Amino acid sequence: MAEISCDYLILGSGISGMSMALFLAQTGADVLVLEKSPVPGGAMQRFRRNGIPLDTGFHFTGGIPGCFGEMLRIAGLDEAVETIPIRMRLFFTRSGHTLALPRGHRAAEEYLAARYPDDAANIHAYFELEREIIRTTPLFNLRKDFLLFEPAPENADIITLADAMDRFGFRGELRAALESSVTCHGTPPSEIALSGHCRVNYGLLNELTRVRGGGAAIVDAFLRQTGPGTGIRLKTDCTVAQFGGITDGGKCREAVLTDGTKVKFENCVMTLHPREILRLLPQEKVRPELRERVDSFEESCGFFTVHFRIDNEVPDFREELLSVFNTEDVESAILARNGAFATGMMMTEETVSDGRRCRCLTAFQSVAASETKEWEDSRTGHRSESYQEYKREKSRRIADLVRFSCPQFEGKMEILSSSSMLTYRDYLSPYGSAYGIRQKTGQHNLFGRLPVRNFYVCGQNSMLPGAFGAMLSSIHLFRKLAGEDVYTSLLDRRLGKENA
Amino acid sequence: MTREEIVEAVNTAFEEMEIPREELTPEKEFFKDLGLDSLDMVDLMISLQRKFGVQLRQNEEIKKVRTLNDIYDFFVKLDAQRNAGDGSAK
Repeated sequence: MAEISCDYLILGSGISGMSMALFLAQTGADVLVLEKSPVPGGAMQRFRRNGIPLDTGFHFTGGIPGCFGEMLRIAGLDEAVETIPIRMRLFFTRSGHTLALPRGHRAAEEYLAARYPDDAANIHAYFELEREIIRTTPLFNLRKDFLLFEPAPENADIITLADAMDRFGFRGELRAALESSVTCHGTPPSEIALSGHCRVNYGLLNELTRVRGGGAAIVDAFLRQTGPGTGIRLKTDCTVAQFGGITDGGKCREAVLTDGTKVKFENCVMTLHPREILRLLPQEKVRPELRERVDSFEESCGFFTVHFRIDNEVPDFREELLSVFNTEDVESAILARNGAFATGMMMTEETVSDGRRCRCLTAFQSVAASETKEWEDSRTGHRSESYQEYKREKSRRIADLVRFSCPQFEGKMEILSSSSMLTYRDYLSPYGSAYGIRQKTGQHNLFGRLPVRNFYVCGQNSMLPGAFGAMLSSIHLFRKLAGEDVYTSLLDRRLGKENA
Repeated sequence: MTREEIVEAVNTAFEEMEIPREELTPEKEFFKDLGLDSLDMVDLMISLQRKFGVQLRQNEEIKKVRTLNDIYDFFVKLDAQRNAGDGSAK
């Protein structure tokens, strides 16, 4: 039977697992990354239809300049990442109103203040608070020790976004515009802390960008840094079948993998969904308090996604994110209740396999998990005709909405592929949600040490959702694993001392 | 709360972090004797915040605690302040 030894065993090859492996390898550690899917990269993966590359989970980000850029440099991924600025618009189907938010946090503030003059003073106050929250978020300063965190101003950690909107007296489409980016973190306004929402919203308003080549550019760059001599080994189609016994000091240093390989390791880092972590941990170490905590986590919102090809002849095609709401009630829209929903339409230009340019529109619409409940016991490739009909009908309706929101695409679009929450469940996230667990106000996430002393957790469920948040949790955990001296010298080496 | 109740609540927080109860004697230092590290301290602070219903993040006093006894004393003092009416936990 094959046997492998390593310093770090990392479970999951999404952006969190990949960046953790790259950080650790640069300190000379020997790392083994396990990915249960046949393809590495988690939600960073792309797939192709008719040669056209389509994103699975990573469509855009708000954080690339500043902290995200620094993390990419530290991981050695910066050369692979070329960012493309994306325009942002909101469209309300009932009123027909459009908000074309200009790029930049202050520019967006001025735009909204001019658009809603009666609320201008409160809009300025709200945007100033958002900036203050970003300034006082030590997580975003990689030189600062996040354990000495200051609380966010104005109780923003303990009041919800909905509370804040009430306090400022925001209503109608203005409120919807300020709340709209909840679809980019997946937690409803009544549950997300104001601080958590602002940390996502600020980056999106300030610098909405996508990566040329999508998440696949990052996965490819990671793969180039794996293999002999790199310190990183990757096994796909493989995860831990069983951990060995607990030894001295509450540690565990052995596992048997699903392909029968025996692994001996010093530390294990899990970048998985909290429920998967609980399932994998040696059960005698799972105390009732931990089980209750994980049981209390709820899933973030889910999407039904349709990928379209748009004819190259369409004039004035620009890369943008158009967020379409059929209501001003963002709480109902993200939960897809009472007939409300939010639909993000991401328009991009891609390169097809044969080198030609191609225009794409990816529409993701909020959807309730109950919609696909009757087929939840089935797996991709083995689903009934009724499920196929559900997907076709849903895709037709989303296509209608795209034509309504973007009339210039009428007769010039073709459906390439569609994905339900069950598709996401089978390929990406164990429960099919878009952002893992909801980030509820006051919630105590799983981050850092697990109840086995040499087992650790990070990932998008630990701090902030999305690729940026997942990577952020990896670098902060890495700092603790590597120790302050090693961490600081790596930052000096990759970012230069002047950054200190 | 009595001191005994406070000691019990604090010790439970340490037990939840897999530190055996027999090791939990007042003179023990977290880092040196109990083998905790800064990652454990985050979990410990969050757990204590919940158990005592208090925000500890910006509390200067809690940053100075070194031993179990320091933590017991900290919460005994905090509890007394609360009972005295100026208990808006800092």
